[in-house]
Amino acid sequence: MTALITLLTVAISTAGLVHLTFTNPKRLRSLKRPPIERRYARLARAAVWTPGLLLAVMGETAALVMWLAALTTIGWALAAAPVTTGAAMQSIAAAQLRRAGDAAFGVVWSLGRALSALTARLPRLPLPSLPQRAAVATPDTTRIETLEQRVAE
Amino acid sequence: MIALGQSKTKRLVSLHGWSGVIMAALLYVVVLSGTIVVFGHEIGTWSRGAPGAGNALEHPIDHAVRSHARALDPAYLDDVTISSTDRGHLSIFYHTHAKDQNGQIADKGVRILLDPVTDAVISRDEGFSREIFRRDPASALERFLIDLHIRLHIPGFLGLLATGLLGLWMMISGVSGLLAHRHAIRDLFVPERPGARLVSARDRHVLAGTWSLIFAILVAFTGAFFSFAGSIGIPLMATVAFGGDQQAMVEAVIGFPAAGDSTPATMASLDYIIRDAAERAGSLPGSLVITHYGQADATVLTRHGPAPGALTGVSLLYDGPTRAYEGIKPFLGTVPSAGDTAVGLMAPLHFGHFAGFLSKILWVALGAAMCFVILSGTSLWLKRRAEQPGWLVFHRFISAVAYGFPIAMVACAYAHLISLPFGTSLWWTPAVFIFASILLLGYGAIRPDVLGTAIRMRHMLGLGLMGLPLCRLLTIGPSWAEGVATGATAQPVIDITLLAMGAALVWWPHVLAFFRREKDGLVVLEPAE
Repeated sequence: MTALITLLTVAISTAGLVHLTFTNPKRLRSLKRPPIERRYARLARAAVWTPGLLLAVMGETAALVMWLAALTTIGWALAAAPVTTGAAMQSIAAAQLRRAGDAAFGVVWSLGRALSALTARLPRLPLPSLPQRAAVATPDTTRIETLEQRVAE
Repeated sequence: MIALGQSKTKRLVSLHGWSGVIMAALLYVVVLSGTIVVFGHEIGTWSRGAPGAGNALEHPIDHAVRSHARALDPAYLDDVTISSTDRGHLSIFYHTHAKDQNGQIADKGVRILLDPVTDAVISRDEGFSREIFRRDPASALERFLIDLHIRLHIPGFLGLLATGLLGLWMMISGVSGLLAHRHAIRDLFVPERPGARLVSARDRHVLAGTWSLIFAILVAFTGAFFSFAGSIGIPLMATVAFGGDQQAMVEAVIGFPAAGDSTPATMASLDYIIRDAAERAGSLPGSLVITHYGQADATVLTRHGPAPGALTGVSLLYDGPTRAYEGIKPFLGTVPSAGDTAVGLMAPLHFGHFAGFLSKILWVALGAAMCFVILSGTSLWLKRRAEQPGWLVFHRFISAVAYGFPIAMVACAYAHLISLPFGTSLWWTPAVFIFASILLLGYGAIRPDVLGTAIRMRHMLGLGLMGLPLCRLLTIGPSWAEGVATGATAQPVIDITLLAMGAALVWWPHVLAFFRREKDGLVVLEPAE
């Protein structure tokens, strides 16, 4: 079970790491390559760190340590990858992240719609009655109107 | 990372460079041997030619322990350590504590090896534990590699002191490198610049060093802890707080129960205790430690490996005569504490054996990365001083060490396999290592062409690795079919790994060319990388 959890979390983090590595602006500048739009940078960063945070919260200490060890090794391998290999990996990773991003967006959108539909069906709960404020006396405008008539005259 | 002035950065770079270069050869030896002995247990099984074996503690052991205890000098019943060997034999070590020839406290007693099914005695040895457990020729290769890593085969406490200092040295190199590199985080994804220039060598070293820094410091720290604990920590604490009595200090810190009622008492059934402990911990114990065997104040401690998902194992304490369960025994002291947790984490974080094959393979990858950092840093240093003839000698030396050391280890593996059937592997294994090391250093020293020598040594290493499985099959066996049939999967797995590694080393330029499309199709290799 620990091995399975470790492999799953490492796979998710690796996908994020691939995107971050091969769209890194400084990396592309040093290789004299044109910059690539980092549309999924936030999703990629979340993909890198979230599995580790989840492992920490779940108390899976062995899996957490292995995840960190695997990430440092894979990160080095990806960063050191030659340009040709990197370009191929980047296009694969970008396609996967686009799908993942679209799927994640679709899931969140559907959840939002389902939640609003559910709340619309719920009976309106009676709100506790607020204490009535004392009626504010309506100001007497008769005098003002009289003055305005005089001015108009 | 941290903005330091130019002069401070220059000083740090100088400290980092000199600290790395001075100890490069020794650091490389310790790190590479440590990387290999992550799989020390499997290498031991592979090099013994033994079929797969189960855990001897699965079988009843109480009768055998009692009958042998009755026949022994009562002084040796101070402690009894019971465990299962790699061949599935039952090892019972009845011992007390005495000062050895170096003046250090050591275990002295009688170790009896039994067949757990028939209780037949396989061997009986008497003396200090260090001598007893090294007398087995079948474990010569495993012990040689482990001792090389732990103490560089330097006798006494000096060996531990040396490796402890190397651990500290590595931490200094790592931290100074991090401080000297201002843009360590920003450059995390920047690869080596093409063109095989000096700056490319720097990029290569910086990238590997930055990514592996956390675990390099972690492993160096935990390794230094183990080395200093035995060589300096325990004697110092004993002198300061226990009047030099190391045994009393160890017992107080570990939390062994103080000597109480020493009247003779019949011990409870160890088989019951093992079964109960297995139920509570979820696994059979790896070993049992019995203190004051046969006395009213006897205790039995069962040690279990880590549960799935955990980093550290657990030890359960039982009352010896009544078999009453007394609770979980922390490694240090008698109650859980931050110190116990910290010390308990040292072993799994250093050895990487907490989750079986997966954690070990990750630790091997980390060790290989650290070796790469050491060699690439040395290569960068030498590239900067290529014009200075004095450094050429060092260049030849470090190139010879980089390939020569693993070749010497392969040579001593051959020596072990060939001499084991004659029972002389305890002598031949270290002898061939020393002879091969001197020969290879000499070869590297006299050859003027560093690059050509490195290529030839790489081929030598690759061919040597590929020949080991055949040598093992012809000398000690067993075959893959026999191994798999008895559950000894270490033999085929290690054989396949050796074949793959050897092939990769022989055909490395072609492997690299597949991934790197160099302009003229020729991949220029750095010596010793």
